[in-house]
Amino acid sequence: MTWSVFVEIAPHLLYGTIFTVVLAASALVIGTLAGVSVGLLRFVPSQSLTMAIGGVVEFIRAIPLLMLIFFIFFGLPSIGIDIPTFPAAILALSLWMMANASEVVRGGIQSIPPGQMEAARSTGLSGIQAMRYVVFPQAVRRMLPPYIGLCTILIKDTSLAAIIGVLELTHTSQQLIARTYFALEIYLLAAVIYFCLCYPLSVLARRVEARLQRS
Amino acid sequence: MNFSWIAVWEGLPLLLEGAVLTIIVSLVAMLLAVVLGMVAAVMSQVRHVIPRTVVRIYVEMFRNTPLLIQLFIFYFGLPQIGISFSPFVCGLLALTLYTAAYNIEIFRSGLEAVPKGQHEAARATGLSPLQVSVHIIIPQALRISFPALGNNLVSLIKNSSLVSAIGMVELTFMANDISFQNFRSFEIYGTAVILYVIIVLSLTRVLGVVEKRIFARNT
Amino acid sequence: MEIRAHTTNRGILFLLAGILLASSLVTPASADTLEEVRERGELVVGVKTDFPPFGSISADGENVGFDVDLGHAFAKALFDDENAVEFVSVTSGNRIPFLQSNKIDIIMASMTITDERAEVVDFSEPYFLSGSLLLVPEDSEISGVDELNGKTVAIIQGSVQDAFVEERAPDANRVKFGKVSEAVLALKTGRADAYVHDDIVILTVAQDNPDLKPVGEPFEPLPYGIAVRQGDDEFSAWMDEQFDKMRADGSFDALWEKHFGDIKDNLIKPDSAEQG
Repeated sequence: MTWSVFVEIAPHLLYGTIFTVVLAASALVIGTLAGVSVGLLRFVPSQSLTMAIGGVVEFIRAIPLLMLIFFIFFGLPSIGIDIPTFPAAILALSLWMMANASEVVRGGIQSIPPGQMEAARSTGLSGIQAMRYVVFPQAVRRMLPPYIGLCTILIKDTSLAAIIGVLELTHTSQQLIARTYFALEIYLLAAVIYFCLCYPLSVLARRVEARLQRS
Repeated sequence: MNFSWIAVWEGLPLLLEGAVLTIIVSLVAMLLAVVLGMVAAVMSQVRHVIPRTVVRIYVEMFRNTPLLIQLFIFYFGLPQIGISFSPFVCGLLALTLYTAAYNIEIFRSGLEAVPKGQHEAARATGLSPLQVSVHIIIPQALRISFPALGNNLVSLIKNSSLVSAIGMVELTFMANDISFQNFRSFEIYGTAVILYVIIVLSLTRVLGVVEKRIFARNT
Repeated sequence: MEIRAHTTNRGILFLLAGILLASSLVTPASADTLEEVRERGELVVGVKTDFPPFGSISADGENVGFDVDLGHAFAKALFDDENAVEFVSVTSGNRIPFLQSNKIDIIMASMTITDERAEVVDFSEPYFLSGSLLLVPEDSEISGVDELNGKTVAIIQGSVQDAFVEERAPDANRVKFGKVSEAVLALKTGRADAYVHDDIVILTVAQDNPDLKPVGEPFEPLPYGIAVRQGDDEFSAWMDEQFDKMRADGSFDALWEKHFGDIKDNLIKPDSAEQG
């Protein structure tokens, strides 16, 4: 293990990390917004809607993210849908986030005793209002730990984008290794950087969970 | 574009072979990860600070770094210090360590959920602490943890696709290999996607059935 | 759980049916890449980034190499600006999928012309001739492809050597890698006994790595070509025109000299006036 290498490669890796963060943040925002909407839509009293959404969500969750990326990147263009590399990665990650976030939302809402909904409706609130002012706010707290867990996984999964050539931390690592052959040092440093991004979130999730247990 | 069913037909044997390998490596990794996870979970309940810290470090390291990077370190990095494993061993190793790190949390909750009365009752019959753990507590913890473990197994099947990146042969690797040779990306990746869906849905069903049977028995 | 599973399965079936239906209906407009490229103002070229001297990354992070310079030359011809080009990193395995999925306009990636590939892309005239060579550790006793049986051989996924080694050394254990650097690393760390690839890259890597040596006679010489999407006739014709111009005004020979000058004696040099 050559220690001097770390100093040389750090700036390059940090540059790649910027893109990792952009990728993760974009997918996070888009995926969360979409996921919450989809998760809530599950509760609309329409069987065909629930069925359609359920099908899409389960489908996306049943395939590996890597497959989703390959399908969007290589497969879709064959039927005329051409998405450039970086947006393709964001799309795949966002779809993944959407499907999983919607499940977290659904789980959170379902964990609220139905009595809450009934009580709210009996005071004259409409279904939507009951959800918005009574049920959902209570459910949000329970959704937080698994949601933060999803964010952590999302950050880690941005590494998959390297496989289709997206410039981010893992890809940058591979380029450096192609030039210098210091595989162990470079991948270890990359791991450390990912750790720095994810560990705070893990700690946060644990704290939130502990708070929830207490209350 | 002309959707070629022939391409699907010709690619199917290899894709199915890949699917079988995916299932096998996932099951083996899960088995190992359950053993490792349980051992580590028990270790982390011990009073001594060293085992607890070791487990803690292991868990945090493997949960906060990408599985892909872990695979690369095992496959491309370790040979630099003389440890050279085949793609299969590296893949199995990484998947096991990664999944076990998540299993530990599940088992910790599972162990805690075993009613305290069990410990006392078992000791009262004259069993040693180790025997109590192995024969009474752990089996119950496993039962309680089953649903969460099942979820982890499904995640493992999906994560197994990453081992294709280090050249280990399974479904995703086959899909890449075939489509790089016959250039029918949509057909091949589409078929691979459907195979994964079938595997995951079937597995979920099976787990559901097993879960019912496990919890049908009264404790 | 029962009802949900039933519901979900139906949902998934509808989704699949929808996708299949869409795929059979949609026929993308036939490519006229030349038009598109002119409108875009930039040529997008798929090049190798791990295959010196055709395509690699310099210490400053720039794309360099024979194919890269070819890309600059084409951009100059199109837009009078040799920098009106974007280089996308491709590998032997994914270069055709990249071309087919419109991620790049043209492949300039040390691509061997074979019949299978010609079925899905349109090749230019050959512009290089390459045989296969072996790369082994300095102290290795392997001296040719026939001695590879029972050994571990690194090859690149999607390369022609995959089939060659299978034919000539059926008992060799072929380990596939995506990138040249991964195969070389495998050789350096003892994970592979030999690495078989195009002679030009083997020779270049051997130059930069004194702990490795090239062995054997180049076998199965095959030409390289640049490739565009199938049916892209205008672009194809323009491409061949460019090559003719470059050969006529000597710029082709100049590039050859620049990139292959010091190892040209080991290569099977095609006569620049007549290609095989």
